[in-house]
Amino acid sequence: MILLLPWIPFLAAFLIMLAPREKEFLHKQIAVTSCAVNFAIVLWLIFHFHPEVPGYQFAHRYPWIPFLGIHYQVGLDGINMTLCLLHALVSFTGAIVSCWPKDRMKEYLCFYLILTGAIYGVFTALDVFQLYLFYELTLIPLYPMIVIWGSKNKAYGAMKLTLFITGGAMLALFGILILYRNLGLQSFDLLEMRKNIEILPMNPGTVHGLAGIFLVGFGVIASLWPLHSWSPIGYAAAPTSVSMLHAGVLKKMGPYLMLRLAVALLPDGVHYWANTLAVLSCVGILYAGYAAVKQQDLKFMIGFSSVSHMGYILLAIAVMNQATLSGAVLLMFSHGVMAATTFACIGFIYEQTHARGVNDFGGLAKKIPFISTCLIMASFASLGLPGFSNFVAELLIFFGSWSQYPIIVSLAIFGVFITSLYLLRMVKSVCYGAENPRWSLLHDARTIADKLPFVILLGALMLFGFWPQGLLRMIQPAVGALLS
Amino acid sequence: MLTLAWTILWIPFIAAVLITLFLLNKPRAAGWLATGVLFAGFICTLRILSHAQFESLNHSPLESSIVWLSLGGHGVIEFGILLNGLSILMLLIVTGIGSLIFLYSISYMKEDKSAGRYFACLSLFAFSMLGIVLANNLVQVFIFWELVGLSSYLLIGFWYEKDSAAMAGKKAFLTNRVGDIGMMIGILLLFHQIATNHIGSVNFLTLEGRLPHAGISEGMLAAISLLIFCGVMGKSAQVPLHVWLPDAMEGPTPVSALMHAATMVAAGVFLLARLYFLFAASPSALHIIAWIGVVTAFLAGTMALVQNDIKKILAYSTLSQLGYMVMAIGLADRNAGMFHLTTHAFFKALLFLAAGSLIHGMHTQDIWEMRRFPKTLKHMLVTSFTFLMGTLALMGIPPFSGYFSKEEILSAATHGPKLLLIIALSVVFLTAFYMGRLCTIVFFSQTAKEEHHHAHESDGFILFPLAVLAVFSIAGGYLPIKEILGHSAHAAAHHGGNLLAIISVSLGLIGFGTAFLVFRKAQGPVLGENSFPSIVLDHKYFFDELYDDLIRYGQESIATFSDAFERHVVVQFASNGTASAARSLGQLLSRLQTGVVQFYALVFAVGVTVLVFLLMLR
Amino acid sequence: MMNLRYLLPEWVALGVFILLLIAEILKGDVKHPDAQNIRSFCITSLLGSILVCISTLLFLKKTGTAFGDSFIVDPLSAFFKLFFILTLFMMIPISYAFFNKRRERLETFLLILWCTLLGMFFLASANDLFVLFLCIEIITLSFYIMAAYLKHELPSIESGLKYLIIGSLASAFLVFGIALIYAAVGSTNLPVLHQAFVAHPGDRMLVLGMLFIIAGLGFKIGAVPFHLWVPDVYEGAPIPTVAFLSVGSKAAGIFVLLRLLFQVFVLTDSQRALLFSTLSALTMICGNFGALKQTSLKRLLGYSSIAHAGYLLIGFAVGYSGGITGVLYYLLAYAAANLTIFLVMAIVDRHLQSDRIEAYAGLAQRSPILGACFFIALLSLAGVPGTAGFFGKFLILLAAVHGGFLWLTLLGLVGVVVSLYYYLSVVRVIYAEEPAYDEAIPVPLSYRLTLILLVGGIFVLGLFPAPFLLGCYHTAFMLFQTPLS
Repeated sequence: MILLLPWIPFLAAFLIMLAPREKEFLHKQIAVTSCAVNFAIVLWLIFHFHPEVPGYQFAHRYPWIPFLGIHYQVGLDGINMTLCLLHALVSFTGAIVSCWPKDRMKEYLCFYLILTGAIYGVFTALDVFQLYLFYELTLIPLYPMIVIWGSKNKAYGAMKLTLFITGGAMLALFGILILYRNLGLQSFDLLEMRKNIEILPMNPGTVHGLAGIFLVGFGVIASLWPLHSWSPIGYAAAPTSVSMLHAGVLKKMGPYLMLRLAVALLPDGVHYWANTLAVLSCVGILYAGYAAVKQQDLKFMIGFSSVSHMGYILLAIAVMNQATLSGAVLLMFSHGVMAATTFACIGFIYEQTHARGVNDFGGLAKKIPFISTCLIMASFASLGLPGFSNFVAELLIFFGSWSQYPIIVSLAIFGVFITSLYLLRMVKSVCYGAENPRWSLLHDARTIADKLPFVILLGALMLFGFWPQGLLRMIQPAVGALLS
Repeated sequence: MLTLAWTILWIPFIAAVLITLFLLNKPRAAGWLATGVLFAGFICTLRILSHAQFESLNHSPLESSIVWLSLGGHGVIEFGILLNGLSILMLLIVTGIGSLIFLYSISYMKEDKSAGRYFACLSLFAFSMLGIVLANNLVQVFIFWELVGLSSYLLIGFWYEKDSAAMAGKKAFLTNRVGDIGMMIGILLLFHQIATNHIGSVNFLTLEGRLPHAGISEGMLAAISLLIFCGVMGKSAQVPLHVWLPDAMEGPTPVSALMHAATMVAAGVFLLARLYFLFAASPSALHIIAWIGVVTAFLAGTMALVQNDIKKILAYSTLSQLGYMVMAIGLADRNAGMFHLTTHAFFKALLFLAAGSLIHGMHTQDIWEMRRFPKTLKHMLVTSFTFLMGTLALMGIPPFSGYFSKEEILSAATHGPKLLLIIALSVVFLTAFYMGRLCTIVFFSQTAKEEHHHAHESDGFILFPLAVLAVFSIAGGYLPIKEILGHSAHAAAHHGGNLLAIISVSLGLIGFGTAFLVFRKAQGPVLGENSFPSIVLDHKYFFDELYDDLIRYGQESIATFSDAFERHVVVQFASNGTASAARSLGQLLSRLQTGVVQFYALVFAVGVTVLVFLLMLR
Repeated sequence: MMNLRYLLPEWVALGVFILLLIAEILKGDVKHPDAQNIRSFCITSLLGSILVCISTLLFLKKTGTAFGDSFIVDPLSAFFKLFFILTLFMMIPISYAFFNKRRERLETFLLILWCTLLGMFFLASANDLFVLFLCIEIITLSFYIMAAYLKHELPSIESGLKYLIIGSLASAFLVFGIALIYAAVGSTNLPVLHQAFVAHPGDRMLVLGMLFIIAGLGFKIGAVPFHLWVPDVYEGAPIPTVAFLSVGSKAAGIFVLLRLLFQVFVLTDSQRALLFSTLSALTMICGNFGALKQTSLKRLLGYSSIAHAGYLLIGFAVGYSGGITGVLYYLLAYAAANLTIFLVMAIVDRHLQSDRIEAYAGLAQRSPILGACFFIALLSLAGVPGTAGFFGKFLILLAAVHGGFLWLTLLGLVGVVVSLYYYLSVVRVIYAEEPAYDEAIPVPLSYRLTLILLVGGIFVLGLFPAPFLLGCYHTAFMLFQTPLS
């Protein structure tokens, strides 16, 4: 069942490619049903997931390239189960959002489905080569989607985003190759690598170097501070469902791969870099927060806010204990859902007004009450209001990392205040205040298809805000296994 | 008993959800649902009150909780209910006064078509306030603390078309957030201390039991309590973080009555009472708290003197009364603080509701316009009469409840430093003066009444709550608060009872009298525009300007720096720089392609010689 | 001694060549060529190439010598013969697409192609230095003609001339090297040479001769100091010639280098590492960075072929069987991607009339299948996962890391990022820009089949590489196992 996850979207993309061009509704149906089927599969998997069982569940392993010891290996533990749920949610709602009218819908849906399938591939893979293959495969549909359907300076944004992330991926590939050589294991299997490292650990110099390479390599897509400049520009240029999927899910692959490769295989390497990573993440939180305050473009502001939120996750990885890592995974989930909702709202408004400036709007709460309530709820989730799972995750991270970095945590808490500063300023100038006559003919989300994405996303956020154990009972044993 | 408490907590939330989903455009149904729900909560509280033995309850409070979040090895965060005298008293206030105010706002918001959303937010507020009151651990208090902040943001900015309302909502939320930062750091510090001394959890009972002999250093305890006090300052609008309360008057009047008089601002004082064992353990913290309380009381009192908006005057009077309560707890007398909190809830809610009725009748908030309505006493008999009774209670005139609670605080003040007592007494005078000024201008002023038609009295729904609250503000003093709260560990014996009472009552009467004489004939503000006190007071001691400059020069400059750094250094220099370097290298290389074949042959030959040199001769 | 049965593939190829030659002489009519004649000519050559391919497959596992051991059949030669015949098979549709509605004759072009193929087949089985040189000269000469084939267009003549001048310089160095070695050893038989090299490796004459031969081959591969001709010739020459140059001629150069470097010359590992790592580093830098500023697509592909030569040279620097497997696999991947691009260019050439990148604007809108194939081929060249290019680069870089060439790997990875820039700018032009005129480009069924075959090859080599990997490893392993005694 789990094997189907990456291949249903690929099959759907192939079907759309074959379908005649003018049957646009057929394309939309194929795309949405394939994402819905995946969503159902993930829910079924969660339902059959036993958190107390250690190790990976639903595991399958087929020989792929025996010569190099590469297997097509799939399996789920608490961490990638949560991230699969996140991806199921965001891709399903993203599919509905990408059905909003645009030209050359057929190619767009093909690229979108390839991107979705590749991300499922990453989250279910257990073989390092397969993991890396799907990770870099996600880059390919991104470029044409942004270049063709993007908005402001799309060529520059698309190229910058792709080159930055490819650079990071290349560095990570360099690390993987060295890891493969040093282990001398002739196999890319993550579990065997883990066992082998415990038996004969590598010399500390390589471990520190490798951990550094992985942290920087995957830090690029996780928008670690100095390497973050692609993220706001990329999101501002991307169309709505691409920025939803990218800010929501792709950005979480960075920390996920850090967990899988750096924390699991080279723990003392990460300990070695912990201080620098913590300081960089703290700078990232404050710096991106302040930069967001000055932004005039909504998508830029949300781009910087997601850079600032990733800072918390990186701080949690730097501290690397049970509480912070489970907080990090929960924050990946909740920030993903929240960022997707925010971008969906901004996209909805942008589709009709083609304006994205913070001060272009005013009094939208009167004109489009449903969408502005979703935007306000998403902003409150983002600034860590209890009742949403973001708050629980941030709580876990602060509790866990206080003993090791008290100053950085206090600065991070101040970062939360800055987030509330610019988000409330955005809410006030967009939703509240006098009605802007320019947007008198703006219409709200009327049909079910319009409302469904927002209801699902915000519902998930509040469900796990009130009942965090729902996710944590899966995440915590997996994180425990990761650290032991 | 505990199931009752759980129902009290959850039914407002259910009401809020039902209203948002179904009743948003049916205001009357939403109004009656919200009021009915809260009134049911009030009935349940009465049932709890009837068969709760306070003696046993205060020593071994009832507690029921579930594990909400396990911190993986660090401890566990619970979500539960703690019932003791203190929480039952607060339950009484919140549900009692709350249902009265809900009833009041049904008719007050009659003609506002988005009243459905109003009642949803009010129920959400009731849910979060009950959450704070019933919480059994500090983290749960913090969670509901922020939810109360959210509901105050939504309600202050209820008429969001008005820019000033939206700004006020934002200001309130952000100032609360500043306080919450301090509180969060305090909780983390406390949690770290607990984790190291493996006390295990943050809930109050284990804390109270294990804290004294947990061996945490006195300095650390003072730091923790002061940091948590930051949160209290934010919520109960003590001096440095008080700027949001006067602007919060942008919200509808019942909101000001419920939140910014009776319940929400009292949450801070309630938290001080709840964590009293922690604060009591560090006398230096208590000392600072007392001083902040008295300074707030004094400053707010003086600021109220020059306000012309009736709600602003009441807002500043709330500020100064809150200062009193914080001072009382700062002087190690928890019961006096809570007693004053209860009585204050009654008469301040009454004053706000009566003011609301006056505004409703005269369609203006400015006391000088109100002055022009002829014989308001006769035409709005019930409103004016209840307003005057509320004023008397506020000033602390004997038969009214205000007198008893203020006496308690003043007698507690006698133990503190002398200067503190003098300031406390001067605040009594100030309170009497500005209330006197208000009453004489609105009711007793003899100047010509230009307004030809007279104000009309409000309908029954508004007057009934006023009457009930008037009764309580009279009888409030005799409620068995002491028995409910249980004697705090070392309630100081109150001596010098009547001498202090005579001084304070006389001060009250003198204040009211002078105000009466000064403003009986006055047409407009008495103090000159540019006289020193009026400038200082008009600008509210320049706190707002200070904070604006702080934000403009502190915050904005850092923001511009980081934005400029981002745009120039990170984007321009780093990424575009490398890109253009690569392109220029490409340019250099393609210049090698001269297109001249002889040049290619030359490079070919040179290449071979270099190879030979590389391998052969080295 | 003469056991001619090893020469079966060569005989079949010769037979087809003569058949075509006779058909051309009898029926060929220069004045007004009729389409039917051309189509039958192509079909016969297609069938002929399939025949040759089958015959090479028969000899896949056998090893043996013929003609007094100046002709050898071993796994390496079988691999390359297969490679050359498959390339030729793909060249026929490219030339057919390019030459329809052109003045120049397609038949003579195909004949020259077959002649080059014969040269390559004999090169693959050459066991004697002199025969080796002979075959190299056959190949280079036929490329002169093909480069200058479009007599009426100046750039084609200019590219032919440039290729001729630099090519002859390279042949001169080659001959000089062979002469030096022959002078030192006295025989041109490769095994004998091998003994001589083993006997006294440091001998000045031998090493100098070796270096001159490597320089000559460097020209063929397009390694750095000898690469300057590549962009100009690629820009001027007709598309089928450029296709065959970038795939066939480069593969021939790689083959000769493999044959000589690992079976004849004796270089210490450190010397070979030093020589080839500097060569590959310089080639990668020039290839990748040179391509950044290009506006003509063929010139860009020229620089990209230089960059790919750089990656191939990493395999030589690494040396042991892992490195050579990487080289062989990378060659397959490179060929598949390049042929796809050139087939698309040949089909589109008639409609666009210019090879500037802007002319390709909106290709995906004018014909989705051409756009999609172009997009996939560019991704494979860039080395994006899921395509053959990625696995080729992965193998080479894995071998480089195993061999300890860390900074070379890093340079290769930087090269990937830079190459992604210019490949994706072409993708942007194809997909995002508006086409000059919107009428769709017809793609007849025969071309669709070839395109699907090629793109299928790219995906199969990328996603299911196990069988091909074993083939390459076997060839590489045998290369080190059986010295030519």
